[in-house]
Amino acid sequence: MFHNKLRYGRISILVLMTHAIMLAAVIFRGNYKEIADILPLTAAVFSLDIIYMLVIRFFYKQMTYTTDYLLLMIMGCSVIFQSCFGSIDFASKHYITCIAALICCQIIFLLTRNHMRILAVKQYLYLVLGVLVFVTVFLTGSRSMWISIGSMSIQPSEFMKPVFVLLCATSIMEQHHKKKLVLFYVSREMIALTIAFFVIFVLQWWCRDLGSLPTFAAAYGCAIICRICYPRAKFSKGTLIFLITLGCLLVSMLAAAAPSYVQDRLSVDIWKDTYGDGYQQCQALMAIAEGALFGKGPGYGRLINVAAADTDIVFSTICEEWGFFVALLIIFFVASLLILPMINKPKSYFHATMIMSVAAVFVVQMGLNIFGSCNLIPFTGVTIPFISQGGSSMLVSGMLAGMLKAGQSPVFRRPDSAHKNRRREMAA
Amino acid sequence: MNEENFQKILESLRSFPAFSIIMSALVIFMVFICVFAIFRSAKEEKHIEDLRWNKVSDYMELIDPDSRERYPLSADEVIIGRHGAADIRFADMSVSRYHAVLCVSNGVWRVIDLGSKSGTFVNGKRVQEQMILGDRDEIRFGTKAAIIRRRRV
Amino acid sequence: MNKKDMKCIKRGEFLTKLLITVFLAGMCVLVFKIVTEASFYMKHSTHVSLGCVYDRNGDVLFDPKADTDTYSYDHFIDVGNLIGDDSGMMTNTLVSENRTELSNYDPIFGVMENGQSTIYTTLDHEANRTVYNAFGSRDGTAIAYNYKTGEILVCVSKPNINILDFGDVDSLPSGSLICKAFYRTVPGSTQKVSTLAAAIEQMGFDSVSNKSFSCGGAYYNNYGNRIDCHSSYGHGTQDIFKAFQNSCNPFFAQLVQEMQLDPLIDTYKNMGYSVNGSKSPKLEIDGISVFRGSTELDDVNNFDTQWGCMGQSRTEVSPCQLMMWQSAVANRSNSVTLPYLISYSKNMFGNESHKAKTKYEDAGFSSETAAYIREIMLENGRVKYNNAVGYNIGAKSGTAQIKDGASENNLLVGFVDDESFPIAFCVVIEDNAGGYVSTEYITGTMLSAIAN
Repeated sequence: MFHNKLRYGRISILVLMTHAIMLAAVIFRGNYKEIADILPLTAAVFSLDIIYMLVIRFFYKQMTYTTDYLLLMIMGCSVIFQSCFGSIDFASKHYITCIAALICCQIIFLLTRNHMRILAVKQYLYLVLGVLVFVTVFLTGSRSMWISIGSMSIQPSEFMKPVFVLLCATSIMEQHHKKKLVLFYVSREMIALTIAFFVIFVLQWWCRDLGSLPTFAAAYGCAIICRICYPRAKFSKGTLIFLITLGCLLVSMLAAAAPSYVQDRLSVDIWKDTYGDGYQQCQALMAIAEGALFGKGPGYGRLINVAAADTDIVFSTICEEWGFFVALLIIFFVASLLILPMINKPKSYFHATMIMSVAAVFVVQMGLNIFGSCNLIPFTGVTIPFISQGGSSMLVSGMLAGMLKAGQSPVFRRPDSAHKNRRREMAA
Repeated sequence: MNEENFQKILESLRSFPAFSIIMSALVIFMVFICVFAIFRSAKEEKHIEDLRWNKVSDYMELIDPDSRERYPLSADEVIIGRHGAADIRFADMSVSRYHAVLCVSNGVWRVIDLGSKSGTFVNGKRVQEQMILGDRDEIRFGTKAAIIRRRRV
Repeated sequence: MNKKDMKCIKRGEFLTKLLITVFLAGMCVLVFKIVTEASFYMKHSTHVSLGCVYDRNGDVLFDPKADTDTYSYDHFIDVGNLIGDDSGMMTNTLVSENRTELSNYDPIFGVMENGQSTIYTTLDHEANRTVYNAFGSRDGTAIAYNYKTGEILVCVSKPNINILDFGDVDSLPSGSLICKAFYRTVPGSTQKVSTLAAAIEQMGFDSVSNKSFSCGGAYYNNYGNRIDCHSSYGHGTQDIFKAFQNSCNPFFAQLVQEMQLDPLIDTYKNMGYSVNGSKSPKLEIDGISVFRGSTELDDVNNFDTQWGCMGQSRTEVSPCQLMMWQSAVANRSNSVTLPYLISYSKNMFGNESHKAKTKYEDAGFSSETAAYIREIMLENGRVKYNNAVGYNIGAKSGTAQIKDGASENNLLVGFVDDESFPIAFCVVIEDNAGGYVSTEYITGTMLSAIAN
């Protein structure tokens, strides 16, 4: 493992400057009594920046840092956003989860950058998924997704996301172990994945967690498209269109057969009942309108009094305080995380499919959150990666970012020792 | 005293609507600059990664001796076949649609036959399951021959 | 490094790009939705600080921070249901319909805490209050405007609501929450102005002025129905001037009988009436929607149609519309001056954002007709009202029977014949059978209050 000998001084300074500008915006436009109120936030953001930069510079040498810098910048902005809701203080809980997410990112990066190792232990991943499902079903309260340990509450189902993403990733060789099943040649791995998805689907349906369902469905859908189109392109365009129409029909049938509380959510005129079902969305939309393009100023928002202001409708909260333009940056952040692996392209099919699944998860989560809170689609309680508060979702987002990083700096080494020996012989 | 003055200045600044525009524009501008600088670094990293990939792939490339065309091997699994979706496509009838896979690990390339009809041969020897490839080995997919060799750097 | 990328990797990238593109398309839809619907969202928002509304002399008509400590208890009592409040309980008021102007909100800069959004109205609060008090124990409405410019100077409706102290909303007297000047009322004999206009339009002034009909206290029409006159002794044989002064029902019944139905309906429709269920053109005064008039006419020989042309039966008109026709009459013009309430307003940065302009609409009758009606009304005013009112006015009174004759409303519409004091007005006193307060008294009080 060697250092890539590139200089990162410029982007280090730019990240620091970005955070400085954001803090300056807080100082100039923020809602605080004394300058001292902003000090903890400033100190926390800058110390995280500097310590993290020093660590990755001197103690943790890698071939790629761009994801780390981007993540660091997003985390800093996120901490600043979260600290300003309602009034300016320091969101210490969010800060700690941000650090934990950064660490998670590195761990998952180290674990997944050698895809051969993941492929070797793939059957155990199904086991992990099984354990998570078991935990969700039996250890959480009835039909809830949360486990409370002391003051912390963890959402075990959230951790199914990175596991499922890893299951969606596949290598070409894996796809070639096929069996004929009724009509089609299907790989064993694909059947296992479908069963895993089905289990998750049933679990989410049972738990009424309809926000996470589309996330998994998107990852699964992308994985399936990759699998049936390549490498065995037996499906013609006609068949594909047929399958897509079938999928749409299935979704609409599910929507029609859904329980009444889902139906209510699918068709609700929020403005008829601004203090009932549509309360959060109405308030969110009003907040966006009130903030307009440039916002009321950090800390001047009033949406914080509405439930889930820092998670499910966080986009509107940022819109209100910082303005619509700055809020759009959130989308830019996550999109740029996904653009990085397009610049520095993955070198293996496994990483390509993994990155695609991560993109599906990120984009669908963002879409559900933003469009849901703005009443374009039914409102479901999902979080925006890295921006929303929430321990589990933050850690999971960190893990997924680690996978994005892994695709940019892969390692190709077989885990089996026999091969190593052979190489030694060859070298000798 | 100083802080009071500062607060007064802030108050007067905030009464200008243009002030909020400037602050927002600064934040957006800075974030854009930062992200694009990161993108530039990503490009540099890509360069480094490509160099490192050369090392991992042992500078190997595939050459079609008939057309003298060179096929870079820029992924760890490369499918060779007649089908349009194959990474390296040989439009020869003796080549199966998905004929064989070239894969690399630890800097060693191997060829894996995907159960092709006409078989894969390395230097005339039929590949049963997989076979390690060396520099300038001739691989024959059916009747179509190709040479894997180290690039001249 | 210009290597071709492997297709398998491109495929994954393509799907990622597709996802991002779909998401960005969704974002564009969202941006469009928010840009177009932002003002709609703001209507529901309770987090805006509204600006004040002032009258023409700088007196406060609406202040969102108003309480009894800063204003006298009945400061807003005369304009409560016209100006409204920010509670959202009253609709069709100046504040509720112009909330966006007043809300210190801008789609670009959003909500401003200490914005300068203000509305300056044309009303004269002092005159308004005087007229309100002049009603004494009676209910009713009075509206007056400048028939040359369109500025509404007085608009009173009683009973009214004190926005400083709502009390129990359910126990408020009926009609407290609406400004009656803009709602339907039975016009009584003031309808004879419209009928006269229709008659002159149809037959020409000469023909109408040459007509004379006799009145013996009651008249049996062509179908044998009895039309009673308010004077049981009858008015004898009269011409139009005399009949107009006497407000003689048999005369007008016979006049209607001599008209043709279709031109009559056409003139009514052109004047803004909804005849037999037809749609009348919309009338709004700075967002406040105003009822025009409606009637049912089916046969000129019919009892109901004849009474309809005399302001009973199914005929209803708003006092505001009655006043507006007077502007055409007073101006000897074929166009009505449209009234307005907002003189100008300021946006949250203190810049003038809306300046009123005088607008006109078609009166429905020609300027010659207007001139003839003017003469007839001035003659009526000279004979009956000038002394009581104290100004030279052209006027027509009306007594509207409501609740099937159980009660009577008194009306007076007219205009001041003075180029330097061009005021048209309409006064309605409800349930005034005993003549406790006279319309002349209210009108006189109103005009002198405006003049001061």
